Formats: sequence, structure tokens, C-alpha cells
Amino acid sequence: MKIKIVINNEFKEFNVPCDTKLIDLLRDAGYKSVKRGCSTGDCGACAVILDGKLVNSCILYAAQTDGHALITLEGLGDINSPHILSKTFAAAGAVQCGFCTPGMILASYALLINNKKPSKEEIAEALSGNLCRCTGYEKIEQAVLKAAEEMRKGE
Amino acid sequence: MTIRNYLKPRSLQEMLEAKRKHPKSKFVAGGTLVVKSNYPDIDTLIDIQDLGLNRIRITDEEYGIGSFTTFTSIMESDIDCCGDLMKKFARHIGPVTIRNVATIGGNVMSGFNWNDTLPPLLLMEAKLVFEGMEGRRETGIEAFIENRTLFKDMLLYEVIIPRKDVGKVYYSRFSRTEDDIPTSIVAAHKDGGKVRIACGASVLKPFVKSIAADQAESLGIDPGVKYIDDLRGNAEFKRKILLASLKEIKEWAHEN
Repeated sequence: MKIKIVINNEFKEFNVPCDTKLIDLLRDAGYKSVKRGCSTGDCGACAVILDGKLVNSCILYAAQTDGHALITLEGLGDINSPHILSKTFAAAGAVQCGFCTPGMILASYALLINNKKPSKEEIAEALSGNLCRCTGYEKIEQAVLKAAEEMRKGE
Repeated sequence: MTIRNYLKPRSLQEMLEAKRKHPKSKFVAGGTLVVKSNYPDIDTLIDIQDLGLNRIRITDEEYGIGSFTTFTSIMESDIDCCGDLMKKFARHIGPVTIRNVATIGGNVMSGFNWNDTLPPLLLMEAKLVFEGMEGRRETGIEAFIENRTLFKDMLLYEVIIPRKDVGKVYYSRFSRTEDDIPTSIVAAHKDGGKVRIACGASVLKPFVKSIAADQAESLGIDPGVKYIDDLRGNAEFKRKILLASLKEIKEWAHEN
């Protein structure tokens, strides 16, 4: 079936079988920041932002996103022009094995676009669907708080 | 799992036409259960996202929650029913990533007995509106639980919750972690001289009963109540958890 999706502000068209999962479509299309973790919607490694909301791409059919807009980590910047969250994650040492990092950064981004001054509880809630197998949650929380502070300064 | 056709009707008429052409089709809402399920081949999936059912209708008498309404939308809504019971149970459906896509319709229709949604809906005397080949049909949530198979090929269109002031509400949810599937859910409010108590997740068939507060614990030892025996705990464990909540309700009823 034919699917049209806006990915990171770029219009894309795909022709895929009906049962293609969104994670497979994205990874096959080169969006390798989308990680395959649990495949059951429990770990958040495959998280993307769909119409402004954080979702797990492993438990969505690609067909469900036809006509919608997605953001993957690639959409938040690159090595030459990293997003402020990428900088604060690195500076805070919030990246250990790095497998959960794309999902963590997108979850943080989804929080900060609506809440410029989140509390620690709100950060924990926003990241509740993302697991860090290195258990680096405290530094991740620090990175989000720092990014929020930097983003407020930049306004 | 192989899906041969994926349809996205844009109206109820189109949905019914799709159902007529593909009688073995299944509906998909948020997809959190269908995508993970181990269904054998699915002839046709009918995606209901374009039917305008992600909305909450509010009148003086009731809330009409479209079946495609996500739990995030419920949490962010102006629903104020049975205190904050709706928002409380919506919060525990799962983490943010699940609540953003999981829908009330998908949860009600999932058929799982550990379902988060059924006990609160039982307490709130919810009604369900279905659309099918033979027209629109409305049923109480209790009748639905008794005869789920009658509705398996129908589209859950709306969940109606009457607006009424029931005073304070008791709610307990027991699970291994905050966002895990529940082992027991109990909700209650005072009902004249009695307490109306809804139980689910621990029992094979969620139920609601009005009973004198002092006799609340008798619900847990009723021989007609069968408990779920699964990896989250055996039947005896579930029975003890339910009894603990019922004992708490007895004390709660005296204090409130």
C-alpha cells in the first residue's frame, strides 16, 4: 500500500506491505536512530514523535501514520549542529551505552516543547515510557533540567 | 501475522461498507494491542482513526467519549466524573508512550479480564454505543461484560458516562510497577446506606455490587467470584489482594 508521511519536515512516500511496522519502515529508510529494543512497546528505544506526541514505533503499523507528521532524532539536528538536548545529554554524562538515548532525547523534547520549566516529577513522568538499561536516570534528569534552563535563556 | 487489506474509512457508511465486504475484518484503533497480538492472518484491518471518534462530548447529563479517544486526551480533558476517577485510571493505563495512542475503545473491546477500564466504567454506570450492520445499539456496561461475543463484530462508537455527583470515591489499583498491567482494581462510592463497589483485574469477570459497608469483604469470598490465575499471581494471591481492598473500603466508608 502507498503511504505518505512527513518525516522531519520532509515529505516522503513509501510503498509497503499492509503489516509493515513503523519501526521497520523508518529503519529501512535510513532513520537508524530509531532503535529496536523490546518490540512490545515497553522500552521506548524506538520512540518517535507523531503529531507532537511521543509514541513507540514498534507497536504502530506504518499505515496508521499515513497522512501524519513524524519527528525522529535525525530531525533535531546533526553532529555539526546538535540540538541543545544532545549537548546537555553529552555534557551531563547522560549517555552510557547510548541505546536509549534517541528515545530519551525525543521524550525530553516532547516534554520541553509544552513545558519550559518542568519539575523533576514532570520529567520522570515524561520519560516513564523510556527505559535506560544502564540505569543512568539521574544524569538524564540533570540533562533535561539543564536543557530546559538553556532553552529558557535562549528565548 | 499477515494482513491482506488495510482500510481507512472516512465515514460510518464507508466503515459499514468495508465490514460488509470483509466480514472477517478486525478494527484497529491505537493499535497497541492488535499490533502486539498473535492473531493468525488477518484478512482485513479497518482503521477507525478518520471516523471523528477522538472527541469528548459534554452535556449537562453525560459525557460521550468517542471510542478513538486516547487516554492522554482523557487526562487532558474537562471530564469531572466520580471525582477524578477517569483521570486516575487513565494515568495508569501505561506510560506516556502508551497513553498517547491507546484508546478507550480499544481497551474496552480488548476482551482481557485484567482490563483497567472496566471497573471504573462499572462504577460510573457507563453505557456503550455500538454501530453495526443492523444499526446502532446501546447497552449497559454490565450487559456488555456478560455478553461480549454479541458485540465482537460491531464498532464501539461511544462510551457514555452519566454525570452525577456521587461524593467521595475510593480507588485502589494494585500492580507490580506503577505502569504494569493491574493485579487488582477496586473502585467504590457510597450509595445511600450502602457502598457501591466495582472490582476487576483480579477476577475473571469484573462486577459491581451495592452492599452494606460492614459486609464488603463478603464480596471477596463469594463462591461465585472466580479469580485469575496467571503469571502476575495465583488465584489465592488475587483473592487476598481483593479482600485487603474490601477491608479498606469498610474502614473508608466509616471515615467518610
